[in-house]
Amino acid sequence: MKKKSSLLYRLLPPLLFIAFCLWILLGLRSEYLEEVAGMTPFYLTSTYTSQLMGQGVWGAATWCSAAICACMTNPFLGAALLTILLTTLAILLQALLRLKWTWAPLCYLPSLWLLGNFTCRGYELYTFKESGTEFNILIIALVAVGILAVISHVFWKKPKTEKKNATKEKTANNKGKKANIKQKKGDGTILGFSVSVLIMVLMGWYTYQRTFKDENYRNILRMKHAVSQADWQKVLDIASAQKSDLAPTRIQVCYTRLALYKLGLSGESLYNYPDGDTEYAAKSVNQYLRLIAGPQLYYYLGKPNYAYRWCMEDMVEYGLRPHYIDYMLRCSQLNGEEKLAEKYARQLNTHPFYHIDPKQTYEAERKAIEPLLEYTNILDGDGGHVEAYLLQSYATMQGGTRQMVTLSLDCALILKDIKDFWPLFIKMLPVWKHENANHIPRHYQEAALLFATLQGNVDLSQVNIDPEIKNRFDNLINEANSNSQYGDEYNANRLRPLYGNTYWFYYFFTTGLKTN
Amino acid sequence: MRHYLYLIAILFLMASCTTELPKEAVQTQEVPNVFPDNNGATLPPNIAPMNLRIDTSGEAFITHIHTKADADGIVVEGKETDIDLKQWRTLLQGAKGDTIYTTIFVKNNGTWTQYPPLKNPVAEEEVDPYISYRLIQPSYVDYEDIYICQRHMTDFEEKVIYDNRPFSVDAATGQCVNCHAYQDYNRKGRMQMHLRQNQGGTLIIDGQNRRKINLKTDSTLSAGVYPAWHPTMPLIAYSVNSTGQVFHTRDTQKVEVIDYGSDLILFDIPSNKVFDIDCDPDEYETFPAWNPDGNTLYFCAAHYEQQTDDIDNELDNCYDSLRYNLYARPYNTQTMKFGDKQTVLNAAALHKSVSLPRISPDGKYLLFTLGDYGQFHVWHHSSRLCLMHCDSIASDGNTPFTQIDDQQASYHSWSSNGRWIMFTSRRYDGNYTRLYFAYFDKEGKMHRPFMLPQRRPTYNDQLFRSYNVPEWMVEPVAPTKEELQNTARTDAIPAIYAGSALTHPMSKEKNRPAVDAVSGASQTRGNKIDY
Repeated sequence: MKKKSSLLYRLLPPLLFIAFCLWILLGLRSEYLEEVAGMTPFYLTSTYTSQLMGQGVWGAATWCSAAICACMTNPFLGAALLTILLTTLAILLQALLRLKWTWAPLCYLPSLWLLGNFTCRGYELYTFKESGTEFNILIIALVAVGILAVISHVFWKKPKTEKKNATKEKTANNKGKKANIKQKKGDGTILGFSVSVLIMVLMGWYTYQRTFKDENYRNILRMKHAVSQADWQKVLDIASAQKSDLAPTRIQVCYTRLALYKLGLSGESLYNYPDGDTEYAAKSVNQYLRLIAGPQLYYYLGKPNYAYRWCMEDMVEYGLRPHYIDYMLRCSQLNGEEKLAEKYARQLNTHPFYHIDPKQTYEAERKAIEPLLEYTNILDGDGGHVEAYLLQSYATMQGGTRQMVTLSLDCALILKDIKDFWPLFIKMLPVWKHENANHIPRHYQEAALLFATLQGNVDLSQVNIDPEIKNRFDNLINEANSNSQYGDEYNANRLRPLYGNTYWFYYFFTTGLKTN
Repeated sequence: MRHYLYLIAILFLMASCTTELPKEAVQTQEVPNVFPDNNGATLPPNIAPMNLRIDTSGEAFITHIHTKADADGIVVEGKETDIDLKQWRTLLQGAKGDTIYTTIFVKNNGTWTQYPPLKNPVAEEEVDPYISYRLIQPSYVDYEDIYICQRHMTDFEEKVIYDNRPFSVDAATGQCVNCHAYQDYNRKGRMQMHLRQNQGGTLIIDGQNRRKINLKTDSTLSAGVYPAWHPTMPLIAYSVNSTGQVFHTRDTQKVEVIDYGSDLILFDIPSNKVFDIDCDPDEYETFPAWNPDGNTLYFCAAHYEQQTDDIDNELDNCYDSLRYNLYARPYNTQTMKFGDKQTVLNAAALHKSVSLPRISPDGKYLLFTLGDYGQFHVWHHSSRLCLMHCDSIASDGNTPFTQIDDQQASYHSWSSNGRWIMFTSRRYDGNYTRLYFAYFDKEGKMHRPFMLPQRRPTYNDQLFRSYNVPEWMVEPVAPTKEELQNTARTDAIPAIYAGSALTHPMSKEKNRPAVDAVSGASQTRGNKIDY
C-alpha cells in the first residue's frame, strides 16, 4: 500500500505537467502551433544548415528549435514533442539536484516558465525577427542540465553520512523497524510534497493566465489555414460561429468576404455576416492585415504581383519562412514563371512537412484565379493598405471577365460607390437573366433600390426586383421617415433586428470602419 | 594492441581507396542534365573548381574530369561533386589552350550509363584574382541585411567587406549600402561605397585613409549615386538621382525603378569639392563611365520635358517611353573641364534604351546593355549585352553595335586584361541574379558564359539573394569590415559645391523633388523610397 502511494507521488507531478502542457498546447493554442510552423524557416539543405552551424552554439540550438517548430505543422506531433522535452528537462533537473520525490514538483517550474514564454505570444509572431529561436533556451538548458546531471552522477560520490544513513535504513528494515522509520519520514514528506505541488499548481495557473487566449486571433488563424486550403465553406462556418458579442477584426471580415465571393454567395449573403474593426490584441501597432492575410487576399483575388511583393518584403525582414515561400511559389505559377516556381518548390520540399509538386499541387486553385487576371498592367502601389487597395482597384475597374465584374460590383457596394455601381450592375443584368433565371442576387437588388431612391432619376421598371425586397425597402423608408428625429445610434439599434442583414443597414449605419 | 593495428589498417585502406571509373557502361547520346549548365563555356586557367550537381535520377554517380593530355584526370563520386582543389589546379594549368572534358556516369538498376562529355575550352588568359559584389534579397523597398562580399576567384573563399546589420536596428534606423566601386581595379586601394539612411554618407577609402563624405549640397539634386572613378586622377564622377520604385500590377518584371530627375556631378577628392557636369532639367543623365585614358566621360541620358507639377505621375504613366541615349563629353585633365556633349548612340530613335556603358581596358570596345525602355535594366526582361567599337563611334549618334548575348543581362564589367566579362543575369530562374563570366577573345567575340562556381553546386540554387554590382579587383580590399563600420559611424564631412565643371556651363533651373540632406535618400511618394 505504501509502495503504491509512493509511486503515485512520483508519477503525479509529471502526469499533471503532461496533461496541463497538452491541454494548453492543443486545447488553447493548436492553431498557433500550426502558425508557428508556417512562420519558422527550417530546411534540410546544406545552405541552411551550414549558415546556422556557422553561428556556433546558438546556431546549433536554433537548428534544433526550428526543427521543433517545424514539427508543429502537425500540432499533435509538435505538442507531444514539446511536452516530452519540457518533461525531460524537469526530470534531468531533478536528477541533477538529486531532489527526492517530495520536492520533485518544483523541478517543473522552469518548464512551466518556458511553456508560458511560448504560449503567451500572439501577434508578435509576425514581427519576430529571430524566427526559429523560440526554444533555444530550452535546448541549451536541456543539454546543459543533461551534461551536468551525467557529470554529477559519474564524478560526484554520495557523502559518507548519506551512505551511512542508507545503510542504517537498510539494517533497520531488516530488523523489522521499517514501518516506524517510514512513518517518521512520511509525515514530513507529505507536507513537503503538498507544498511543492501547490507551488507547481500556482505556476501552472500563472502560465495559464499568461497564455494568449484572444478569440479573434484564434479565429483569424483558423480562417487563415482554411483559406490556405481554399476551404471556403470552413471560413464561413468559422465566421458564423463567432460569438455575437465579439465584433470581428478586419482580417476576419476580409477572409469572410473572400470566402463568400469564392462561393458565389456575396450577392446573397455579404451582409449576413458580422462586420467590425476590433483592434488586434497586439502589444504594438502594425499592419497586421498585410502581415497575416495580405499575400492570401492578393493571391486569391488575382493580384499575384502584390502577394509576391509582400512575401518578398517580409522575407527580407523576417526570414525565409515557409509560408512566404509557399505563396511565392503559388504566385510564380499563376504568373507563368515556371523556373521560379520550381526553385521555390525545391526549397519547400526540403522542409520535412511540405511535399509539393509545382505542376499539380495548386493547379485547381490556379485555374479558379486565372479569370481574375484579365486586366491591363499599370504601375501602382498599395502602401501596405491591402483592403483599401483591393476595394479601390476593383471598384474602379471597368470590364473584364464575369468573375472580375462580380468582384468589382461587390467592391463598389462595400465602398458605397454609386457612380461605379451602375455600369457594373447593368453589365451583369443579362448574365443574371440567362444564368440565374432572371434572379438578381438580393444585395444587388437592395443596392439598386437604394441608389435609385437616393439619386431620384433612375428607372428600375425593367429590372426584376423581388416584391418582397421592394416591400421591405418601402417599410424601411417609412420607418426612417417616422423616426428621423432620433439619432443614428437609436435607429441602428432599433432597425438592426429587422434590417441588420441588408445592404441598406450597411449603407446607413456601418460607417467609419478602419480598413487595416 | 591488436585492435589498434586493425584500426590503423582500416584507416589505411580507407585512405587508399580511390573512386574508379565503371569498367562497363552503356553509352548514350543524351546530354546530361546538370546544374549549373556550363557546357561549352570557356574557362579561365585559374578559376575555382567547377563543381556540378547531376540532375538525373540514379543509384550512383561518377564524374570524370580529364583532358587529352591527362586522360586519368579527376574522378569524383556522388550526385554533387566536390572537386579537390589541388588536383583541379594541376589539371587546369595543363589544359591552357586545350579543352577540359567532363564525363558523367549514372548507375541505374545496376547498369552504368555513360553520357557524352561536357566540353569546356580553357583560355590562356587568367581572370583577376578577386571580385566583389553585393548580396541582397531582390526586394523592393525593404533591406534588412546586405553584405558586400569579396570572393577569391581561384578558390571559394568569400569574405564580407561590409555588412549593414549593426546599423539596421529597425525600419526607422535601417541602413542601405550600395554602389561599391574601385579606382583602377583597386590596385592602389582606392574604393568608395554609399551608405543610405542611418549613418548615411559616402565612404572614400584611399589606402589607410578613410573618410565619410556627405556629397549632397544645396545646389545638387542628391548625394552621389552611380559612381565612376577616374582611372588615374583623384576624381569620381557621379550621377545624382531622385529615384523611386513603383509596382507593376500584372507584368512579371514586377517593379519599375524610375528616376524622376537626374544629373551628373564630379567630386574632387582632395579639395572635397563637388562640380556640376550635366544638370539640364529636361535631360535625365545617369551611369557615367570613364574611358581608360580618362579623357572622355560616357553617360546615358533621356530627354523628357515636364508637363505638370506632378513629375511622378507623369513618368509613372509613360515609363515605357522614357528611353536613354548614350552620350560622351571630352575631359581636359589639365584644365579639369568637360567639353561639349556628343551623341554616341541615339537608341531612342531605335525605340531602345541604353544603360551602363563600360569601356574595355584597351579602350577598343564599349559594352552596354540595351533594353526596350528605362535605365534600371536589372528588372527588364528585354535587356541584352551589346558591344560597339570605340573607333567607329559616329558623331551623328548612329554608331553601329552588335548584340553579343541572347539572354537577359544587366550589370557588367571588364577584367583588367580585357579578356573576361563578368555580368549579372536573372536567366537561371527569372528572379535572382547570378554571376556569369564570359571569355572575350582577341577577335572581339564573347564566348558562352559560365556561372560563378561554388564549393557546393546547389548553393546558387538554394541562395535567396541576388548578386549586385559585381566588380573585378586585382588587389583585395585592405580595411577590415570593422574598420569600415567604424568609419561609417563617424560624422559625414560635407562636400562643398564649386560650380560647373563644363567649359560652357549650362543653366540649372529646376523643379525637382526634395532629397534628404545627409543620406541622399529621396522619397517622392508614400510607397517609394530610395533603393
